This record gives sequence, C-alpha cells and structure tokens, in this order.
Amino acid sequence: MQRISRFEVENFKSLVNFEMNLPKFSCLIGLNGAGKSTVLQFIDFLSQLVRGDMKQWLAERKWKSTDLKSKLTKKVNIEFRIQFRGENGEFVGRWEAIYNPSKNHCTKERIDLLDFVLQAASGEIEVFCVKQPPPKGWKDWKLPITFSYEGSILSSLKEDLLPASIRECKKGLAEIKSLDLLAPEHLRQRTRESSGTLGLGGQHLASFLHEMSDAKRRKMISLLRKAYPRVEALHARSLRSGWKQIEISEGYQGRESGFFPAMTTEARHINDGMLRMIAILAELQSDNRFLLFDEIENGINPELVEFVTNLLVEARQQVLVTTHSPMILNYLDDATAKSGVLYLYKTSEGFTRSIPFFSIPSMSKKLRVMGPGEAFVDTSLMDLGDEIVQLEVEAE
Amino acid sequence: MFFLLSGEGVTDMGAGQAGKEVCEGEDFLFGPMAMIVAQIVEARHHYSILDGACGFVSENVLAQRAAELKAAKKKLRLPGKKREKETRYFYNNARLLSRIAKAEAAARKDDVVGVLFRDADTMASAGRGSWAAKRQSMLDGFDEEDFVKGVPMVPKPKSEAWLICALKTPPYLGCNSLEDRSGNDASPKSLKKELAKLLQREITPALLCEKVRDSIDARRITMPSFNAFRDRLEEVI
Repeated sequence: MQRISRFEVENFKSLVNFEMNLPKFSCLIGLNGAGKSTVLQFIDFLSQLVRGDMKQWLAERKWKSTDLKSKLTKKVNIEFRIQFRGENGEFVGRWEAIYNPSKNHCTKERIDLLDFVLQAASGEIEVFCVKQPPPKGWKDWKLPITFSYEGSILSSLKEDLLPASIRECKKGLAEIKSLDLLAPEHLRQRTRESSGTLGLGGQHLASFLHEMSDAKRRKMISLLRKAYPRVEALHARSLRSGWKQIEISEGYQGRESGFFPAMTTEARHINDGMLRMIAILAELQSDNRFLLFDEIENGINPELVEFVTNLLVEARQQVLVTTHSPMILNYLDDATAKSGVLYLYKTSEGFTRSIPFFSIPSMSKKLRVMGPGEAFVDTSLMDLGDEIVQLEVEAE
Repeated sequence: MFFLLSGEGVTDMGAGQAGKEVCEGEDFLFGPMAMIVAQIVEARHHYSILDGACGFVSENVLAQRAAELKAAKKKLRLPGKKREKETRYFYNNARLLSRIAKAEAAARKDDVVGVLFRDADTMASAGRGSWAAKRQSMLDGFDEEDFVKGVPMVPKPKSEAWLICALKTPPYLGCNSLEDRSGNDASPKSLKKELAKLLQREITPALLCEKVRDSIDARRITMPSFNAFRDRLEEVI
C-alpha cells in the first residue's frame, strides 16, 4: 500500500514554501495557531482534488474558494508536490500540480510514476508509458480537455482509461479520511445513509456502522470492550423511513440477579468519550488508507490513552494526529517519537514551518533521559524558537 | 569515602572507558572539573580523591539506565506553580546517578558521594529555564531516590565562567557578572572564545587540567553558582 511520504506546498493558508516528511505514523504538536489543523486541511484538500466537487467540499467547511490561498502572499495559485512511497519505503512516484482557487481546478498537473506519466496542461491531457517496452496492448494517448471539471483531472477521467498504477495512486488519495472537526453532536445524529464514509465532524456514524460487515463490527466491538469492559453490544438500529440510530448495551451486576436486563443506551445519552472512541475504531476498521485526527486526546480519559495511542501507532493505515497531550506522547516509544513527532511553529512572517521535534538538539538530549511526553511538557515552547532559529542559521 | 563523578564531556568531568558503568583508575581520564572537586576535598581531608578514591559515570551510562524511569509512563511530573519547566533533565540525571551511587555504596560498604556536573545551559539553548530551578531539581532528584550525598555541580551559564573567574586579571575578583553572560558558543562574546583568548591557545582538556593544577585555587573562586556547589560539597564530606 503506497503512502504519502512527503509534501511541499506553496500558498495554502499559512503553508507558504512549506515542506514536511510524513512517516507512517505522525503526530503534530505546537502552539495554538501554529498550523497543525491547516496541515490536516491541506491533506484533506488533496484527497478532495481527486474526488472532485470542490464546491461541495468548501460548503461543508463553510469556506469560500478564496479562503484557500494564503493571505500572507500575493500569489493567486496553490502549488504542491507530493511524494509517494511503498510499504518498504521505496520511491513510488510523485504528483505535482498548480491549483487555481477561482477556477476550482488544477490548471496544470503531472503524475510521475515508475511506469507511467499523466500530465494535463494547456487544455490537453496526455498519458504515456516510460517503461520500455510498454505493457502489451497499451497505447500512449493524448486528448484535448473539452469538458469542465473540479479539482484534479483525475476526478473526471474514466478509470478504465488509466493505467493500473495511476488508478491505484488515485485510489490511495481518495481514501484519505480527515476527521478534523470530530464532534460528539455530529456523532450522535440519527442518519440515513453514509455514502460509505464519515463526515468531517463524524456525521453519518450510525449509517456507517450499519453498513459495516459483521466481521468488522465484531472486531470493532471486541476492541471497544478492551476500553469499556461493560459494553456487550453496539448496534446501529434501523428506525422508520431508513433512519439509523446508534445504541450500546452494557451489562452490570443487577443483570445477574435477574432484576435488570442489559442496559441499553441510545446515542443521545452515550458519553462523548465513548462516541469519539467508536468513531476512531470505526475508521480503523474502514478501507480508508490514511486517517487524520485533530486533537486526538479530546474526551479520552487518561486510562485509555495507552490503548488509543497503541491502536493508532500500530494501525495498518497511515495515521496523522495532532495533540497537545503529553500523555499521548509519553506512550510513544523513542523510535516512533523521533520519526513521528513533528513540531509546527510560525516564522516571524507568519509562515508555518515543521521540524522533527526530537531532532532539535536540546530535545534529543532530553529524550535520552525522559519520556517524549515528559520532554514536551518540560519544554518552554515559546522559547524553543530561539534554538530553532539558531539551527536554521547554522544550516545556512 | 568514594566519589562518583558524572559530567557531560572531556572538558568538564572527563571521560571513561566505554562499556563500563563506573570507570576507575586508568579507565577514567579526568577533566578540569574533576580536579576542582578534588581540590576542595583535599583542602578538608588532605588526600587526593584522584588517587584511587573516585570513579566516573558517563552521560551515556546514565542514558542507558533511563529506561527504568521511562517505563513509568503514567507518572508524569508536570510543571506547574510549584515546579518550573526545563528542569526534568537535571532531575532525571540526578535520580539515575543516585541509583548507581547507592548500588556502589552497598557494594563497597562505604560512603559514596555523587557529584553531578551539568552546565546550566546544557541544552544548546542559552537562557531557557532558571539556574536555581535546575539546581534544585537535581537536589529533588537525589532526594526522590533517598540519596543523601548528592552534590549538584551546575555552573551558570557554563564551566568556562568558573575557569575565567580564576584565570582572568585580576583573578577571583568581581566574577558575578560572568553568570549573566550568554552561554551560546556561537555568540561573538562567548565565554568559550574569551577563555581561549585568556589561555592564548586552543582549548584542550589537557590544557584545562594543566591550568587547574598549576594556576587555579578552587577555594578562591567566588560566584553564586560556584559557592552553591562548594557549600553543598563541603556539607556532605
């Protein structure tokens, strides 16, 4: 399964001349306003580009198209370059594009994979094989773009026109799931259909669970029981007119005495933490390949932090979370912390920058004698900037 | 009485043979700060601890033992009103040295004094956190491990300030202001550059040792961070 291993972006909100390497598990930390959520939004934006329908995406976020570009520069377009790597870290390819916010689509883009290249520019799209000899039956092709589209050209091309590697690349991008607005009030909603995915705020959870295969649901309940041993069942109950509602059943001692049945609670009354946990577990069981969670610690009681952290680090998917919690960080092992904890900060111009937190000399030194969370909480982030500036000067 | 010395490198406490937890005798190549500890002890007890009464524990050895402390992941020692940030490094190193010192005391059936050297701005980041809080957190670390003979040796901002105090003209006088200087070696008026200028040569561990032996009387250095170290050392010996 390919993953996004690196991205460079110019002019997306505070991401100006921004670059970041992404390991399989990454955890963004930094002060409020440093740009953590913006990174999540950018990755979600990438995914939306290949799904198309940018207007709907903007509407869901309550954004205007002009909100996408940075207010810190005079540039109009957003430019980016994404690098993909395979399971074993091998280079798979890259995707680069220029997105015009007022046109809602990429005016120029190129996908370079090991065997094929797709490029779209100046009203023309071209797909050609770079491998010699090309696969049997393949013919390079070129077409004028005579249709309008939103996002990437990939969103509008028939899949059977594309070589397998480009289809796979598109699928990987489309199966990115950002829950950067996850909120209990959305999770509680009764819903009709999920279209196979949760909303940014966790909308459609009930339908999502309803549509889940039995095997996946069983796996999910067994995980949920590890966190909440009283839980006996989790249903998405069908109501009239196709509405679905989440319910959990819990067993307490009274049941054994025969006086009380299992206690069933509907979503309205389920505690926030458990609902969030259900959404996280549901995503981990989904087919999505890259999961993004903002402020993962919200609503999770300290007893469950280790459980959640381990689940995310060991997930088969690529995972990116943001956190302010030293507890979450403290449950990362040193190697994961070194590669995965990325510190975001802003330059004096207001541009977001990132640096692996434990590559900063003072932090690396601290990590030798304390846990990652302890090192984080022991550090004055306001003053850390001076050391980073010094590193930048030395690098120059 | 046996002395266990731990520092950051060859230009302070010294260096030891890799692979040993406590390096003694020929395995311990002592540095200028070890000689300063020795001078103060010698003034009281009239023998040199460098002749077989001291051992060295490297920063690496302490880091290797750190897994014991990291294992207690739920035990976060949080900063707050009662505890400043940028102190945990000093606290944990003190706890780790305490554990080794207590084991050494039991094995030797003798009193062991642990001297832990760390520059106040050891973090390559001058000015983060206060000297007093860092030194206190070392004492807290010794205390947490019930180690009663722990001595923090925390120069402010770094050991060069103490050496400059003793080597400048006139020596030993008006040294307090050295503590307000930047610990950043990259700064144009860095303490390191000033020390090299005073010595008129490139700084090497051997040169610093030679200077401490021939030209420095540790008992005469007077700076708040040095006084705190000397007073505590004299208290435990």
